Amino acid sequence: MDAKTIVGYHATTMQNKEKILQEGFRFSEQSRNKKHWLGKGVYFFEDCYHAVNWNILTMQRDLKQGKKAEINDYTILKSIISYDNERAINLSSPEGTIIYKHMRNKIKEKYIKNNREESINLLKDRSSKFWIAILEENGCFDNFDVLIAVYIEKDNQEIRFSDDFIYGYQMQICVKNRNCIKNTEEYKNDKKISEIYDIINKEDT
Amino acid sequence: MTKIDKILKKIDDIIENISITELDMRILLDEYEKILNEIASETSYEIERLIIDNEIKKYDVFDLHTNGTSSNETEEVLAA
Repeated sequence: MDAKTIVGYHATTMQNKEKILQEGFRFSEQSRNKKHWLGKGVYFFEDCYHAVNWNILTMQRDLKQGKKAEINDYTILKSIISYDNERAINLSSPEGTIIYKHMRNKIKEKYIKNNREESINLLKDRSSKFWIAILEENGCFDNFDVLIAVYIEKDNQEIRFSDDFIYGYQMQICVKNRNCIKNTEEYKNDKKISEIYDIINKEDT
Repeated sequence: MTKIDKILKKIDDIIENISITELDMRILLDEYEKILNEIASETSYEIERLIIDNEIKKYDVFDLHTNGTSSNETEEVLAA
């Protein structure tokens, strides 16, 4: 076993916080037209900044929808995530990329072998989210407890030259086996959160 | 055998056992939803309705395989 422990930050409402702390995390609902980009699981940010930002965005969305909301209605949970690294894939790592592409190509091969060209066209230009859903539904992630990947906000994809660097990325952790989530508590580092607010305000100006 | 080879071998075994009919159905269902999502972003409601109705006729056999699960998003979702 190759044990690994990381810290994850989960943005949520004060209301859900109580439920989570008492009963533990539950997996979010998924349906055919509402899939999550790394599939079924409990999602965490590696960096607390994104959890704070997520709460601000959620509040703005709630206000837009006519709901009564203020920032104190939302909070952040900090969890220790312990897992066997052999049962985890970081899809953005070189090793994870090989595994993901292998899975995707094997499924493609199998599909192409058995279908007409018009059906095969359905597989062209599909997103990673599509492939993750297909792979998950077919049991390809059954041997994995944790999926990790870098999410890049669309607006920030300004790569034009080979020496441009990526900004606005966020490392997300999708925990598929809830036993890996240990010691969840409310994150109350007011100094750190206030520093993040300051960064967000600077970004907005 | 390296760690990565072991993982790839397990994956090959899983994919080997997937029923192609099931896979076909899943991929077609996803395509059907992609069409609906694209249409939903168009501006003309009448055109949307017309195309959606036609697509539903074309794919209605697959309705039997959707189980009506809700699309409620809960707090565990960070990126859709």
